[in-house]
Parts: sequence; C-alpha cells; structure tokens
Amino acid sequence: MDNQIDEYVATALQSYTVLAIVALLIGAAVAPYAVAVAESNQNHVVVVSIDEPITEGSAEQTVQEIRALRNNDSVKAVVLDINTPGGSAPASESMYMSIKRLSNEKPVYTSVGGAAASGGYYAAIPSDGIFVTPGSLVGSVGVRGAVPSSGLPSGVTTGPDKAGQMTQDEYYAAIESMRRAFVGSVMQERGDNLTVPRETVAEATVFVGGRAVEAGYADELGNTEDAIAAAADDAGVSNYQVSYRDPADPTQSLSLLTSNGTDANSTATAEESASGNSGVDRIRFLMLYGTLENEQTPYNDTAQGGVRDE
Amino acid sequence: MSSAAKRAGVFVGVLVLAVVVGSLAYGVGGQSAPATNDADASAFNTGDSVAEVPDESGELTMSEDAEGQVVVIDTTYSSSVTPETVTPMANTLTENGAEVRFSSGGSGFGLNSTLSEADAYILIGASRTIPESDIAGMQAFTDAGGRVVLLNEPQGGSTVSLGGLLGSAAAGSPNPLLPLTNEYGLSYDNGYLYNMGDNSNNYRNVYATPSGDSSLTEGVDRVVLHESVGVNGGQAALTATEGTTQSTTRRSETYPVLTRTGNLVAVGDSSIMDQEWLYRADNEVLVGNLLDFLVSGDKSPEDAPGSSGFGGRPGTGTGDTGTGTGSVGGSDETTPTPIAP
Repeated sequence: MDNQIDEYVATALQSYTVLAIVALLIGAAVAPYAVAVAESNQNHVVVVSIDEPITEGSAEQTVQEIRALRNNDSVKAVVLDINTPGGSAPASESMYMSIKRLSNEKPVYTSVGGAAASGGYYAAIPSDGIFVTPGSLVGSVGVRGAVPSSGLPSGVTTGPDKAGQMTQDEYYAAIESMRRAFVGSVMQERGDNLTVPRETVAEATVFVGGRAVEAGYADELGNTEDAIAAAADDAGVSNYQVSYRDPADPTQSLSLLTSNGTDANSTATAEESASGNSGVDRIRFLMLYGTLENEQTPYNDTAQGGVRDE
Repeated sequence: MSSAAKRAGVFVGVLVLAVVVGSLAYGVGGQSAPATNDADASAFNTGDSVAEVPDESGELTMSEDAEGQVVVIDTTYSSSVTPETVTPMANTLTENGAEVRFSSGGSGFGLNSTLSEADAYILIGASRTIPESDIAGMQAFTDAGGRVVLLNEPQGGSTVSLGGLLGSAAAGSPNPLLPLTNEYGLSYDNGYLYNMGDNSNNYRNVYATPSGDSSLTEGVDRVVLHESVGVNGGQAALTATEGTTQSTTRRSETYPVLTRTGNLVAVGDSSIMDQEWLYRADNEVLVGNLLDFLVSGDKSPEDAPGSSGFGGRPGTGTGDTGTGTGSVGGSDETTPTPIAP
C-alpha cells in the first residue's frame, strides 16, 4: 500500500473505537428513518369491502381480515364498505360476531353502497355509525329456508334424519331460533336509534336512503368518505393513511348466489352447490334479500317485504 | 476468529444497538396483540333464544255414534292436503261406525251424485272454482240436513321467474270459494293471517281461541292454524288471537277463523285436518268436535240433492239440479225436488 490515505483508513479500521464511532454515527443517521417507517404505519383507517353474496368461504376470508385488523395496533379505525344482499345464515352470523368483536375495541363505521340487506345488514349493525346514500337499501331482517326439491337420496342411512332432512316442526324451530337471534341482535345494536317497533323489524321490512335514517336503521346520509372521516374522528386521529382491503375473493369460494343487482327488483338464484358441498343437496338457511328463482311469493300479496311507498 | 471478523462483528453489533436505542429514544415500541374478547352477542344467549319444537300430543276421538253415516272427504280442491294426510281423521270416523268415501273428483260423476249418497261432506281446499251446479247441489244437501265442513286455505302465489318480480297470477279467481260461500252468507278474506308476536314458531302459524259458546269448541283452549284466512258471517266460534294481521291489508283486527251457519261450518284453515298439524295444541279436540258435528245431521230426503248424472258441469248431463234447486241467501226453507237418476 503506497497510498497514504489508504494507509490511514486501514489503520483507522484497525481501531475498535473508530469502528464503534462510525457505527454509532450511521445508527444515529438511520434511526430517524426507522422511526419514520414505523410511524408511517401508526395511524391507519382501513376500508374493508363486503361486496359479494355472503358464503361460508367469503365470510371466512372476511373474518380473518377483521381479526388481523383488530390485532393490528396501527389500525385505528375500520370502515366497512357494504354492498350485498346477504347470503348464508351461519356465515352472516359469523361475520356479525367478528365485526362486533372489532367494534368492541376500535371504531367501526359502515358505508352502504347499493344494499346492506338481510345478512349484509347483520354485518353492519355492530358499527358505531351507518352511512347510506339516498339510494341505499337496508333491512330485510329475517331468515328463509331452502329445502331440497328432490326427495330422500337413495341408499341406506342410520337414522330417519341422516339423509339430510328434518321434520317440519324442527325446521320451523330452527328458522325461528335464527330469527330470534337476528331480530334480537338488531334490537340490541340499533334499539336506541330505531323509531319502528320490533314487529316491523321482524317483518323484514326494507328501507331506502332517508327513510332508513328516519327509521333508525342508518345514522346519516353519506358515502365512504364520510364514513372514513367519522371513523378517524372517532379514533381521535387527524393524520392517518387510508388502506383498502377486499378480503373475499369470489373465485376462491363456491358462490352460493348470483345476483342481478341489489335494487328493489333484484332477483337471486340459488345454485345447487352451496357452501362447497357439490353434489350434496341439503337444507340451507339463508339471510338473503331478493326472490329466489321459482320461489313463490305467498298468496299474491302485494306487500311481501317490498319497499313501501308512503 | 480472525481480527477482521471480530472487528466486523463489533461494527454490526454497535450499529444494531444504535438503531434500536435510537428508535426507542424516538418512542417507537411494539405491543402484543390483544386477546380475543367476548363478542357479547347477547341476543344469541337470551333465555328464549332457542325456539322449542312444539309438543304434539293427544288423541283424535269422537263422542257421537257415527254408525251408518256416510262421510265424503274431498281433497281434490286442495293444493296441500291429500287423502293420505287426513288418514287419522278417516280412521277415527271409520272406528266410530261411519263409512268414509273420498271424492271421486275427475272420475266422471259430479258432486251432486256423490252427495246424494252421503250424510256429511268435508271439502278441503279451494284451488279452483266450484261449478255452479255443485254449489246448488251443496246447498240442497245442507237444506236437507246434510252436514258440510268447508276448510279453505290461502291461495298459492305466483311463481316468480328469473329476471323480475312479475310472475304469472295463480290460476282461477282470487277467491274461488266466493260463489259458494255467498250462498250461505259467508265470505273468506283474501291473503292470509299472520301474527308477529304471538305465534307457534312462525308468523303464519297463528293461534286461535274460542269465542262465544259453541259445541264446536267444547274442550278447546287454543288451536294452531297454519296459513289461515279469516271467515266473515255466520256465528263465529273461533277467532285468531290479538295481534293477528291480514297480509293484504296489514290491519290488525279480530279475525274469526271458524264460523257456523246452519248445517255448514266454514274454517279458515285446511291444515288442522292434516296429520302434520292435527296434534298441535288442541287441534285434535277441535277436529273431533267437527267430526261429531258432521255425523249429527239428519238428512231428509236421504238422496238429496239427487244425482246430477255425469259431468257435473252446469247445465250438462241429465237430471242436473244445478238450476231451480236450493235457495239463495242462506235460507233453509226450500227443499229440492229429488230427481231420479
């Protein structure tokens, strides 16, 4: 080494003191950036989309996302962007419980797109606030059963109900139990806001826009941005980042339903292969707004859960 | 370990220490994830959150002697009740001496021919309009002392096609029994009755209790009606409980569901005869009373209303009694002229 500078550097690097000083200097320079990176994740308001018919598969993905958000300290508030007519009853119940857990710990606000109906409304009710636009539809609090059209499958079973059926009395009792839980949950979550009696809720009435606010099914007219602002305000954060999540991948779960929209004239068709049980026809319980294909509207009644004109 | 490696280790160690200490000095700290809390879904756990399967008990019995009585059960107008599902009722009648016949709907003989050999007639359902000749025959039958129990059921709705809520209307008139019940001063309401608060596990399974004093409701405390309609006119013996609402009007009033006028009893529900609902609440007691009513008549002339021959259509066949017999407006003074078959 005939270069003097190189010699000085080589000598300096032989010294632990010099090395420590250099490391400290670098560390001091890096630390603020590390803090900045960490702080960039400190205040998040996360918007979670629930914009598909609720199946066991979609609900499971949403529940996992909700749990992750609940356990993430950087997430200060959550906004649910709901546009669904509902779907599977147990899946809707699961989502309700998951979102209720979240709302016990963090502000949760809901923005309703086209509809938060039936199971979709079930998911919304634990929210601290529900925003609707004048055209949003909410409500349809109730349960319906979908019974296989075919008779008992052939083959030997170990009991009279092993073929997937149940007695009519058990069927009614099962639906009634779900109804009580659903209506009871709505009364528990929205009871102070509701201006309509329990019977009206149980009739599965739907409300649109301003009437939904009047009835207490929703809190304010507004869209997702209003819900984000309200959620952040509730969380007490002024500087925050907004993240968007769409946890349910429709291609990853067998669809229970296909919907032609969620307006008052929408229809939904139930596919035979529900909940991933392809080839198995069984009784299913649905929290779904709309009319199933080939379903009979009872007794030519003109007011079967439709939107009421006043 | 070489001295170069030692020096490198010292350098990295100090660097990491510096970053961590510096970061902590800036106030960054992690917290453990919160434990899963209780969802507190109290509506899932209230005392009455689980609906119980209703008790089905009791026996269908009769107190009247039905020996020699011919009872015709007609389920051809029903969309849900079949001869098989009314087996308990048929068996009870038979055990008490009655001869039970099921209507020969579609066999070519009209109702009048059937009634001329019967003492009592049970008409279940109203899926289609009853021909005028049959209405006249029934009226002649009751005028002669024959007993009739008429059990209506709500009309089936329209089937909804994919793509909209507009479906094809149910076949027939909205209230097919109206021409018949009008002759007795009765009418059935449209739609169906429901009760959101007081029901048997479903809003359309309404309760009804006796009103007034009638042998038809003796021993009956409460019955369960599945998809029933209100009945107007006559002497009401059974009314739906408070809070019962009519689907078409959404009005909550007092709705009679069983009424009697002379030898005819009109019930707003056909399910009580069905074995699925027969043993709910006191339904079997009510049905037993109805069977007693049916076999207690004294028909004279015995062959009233006379045979209508074949077809049973108004104005067709020989000996048709569809015209000029019976009475209008519920009067039971006129006796039809029997016509030899």
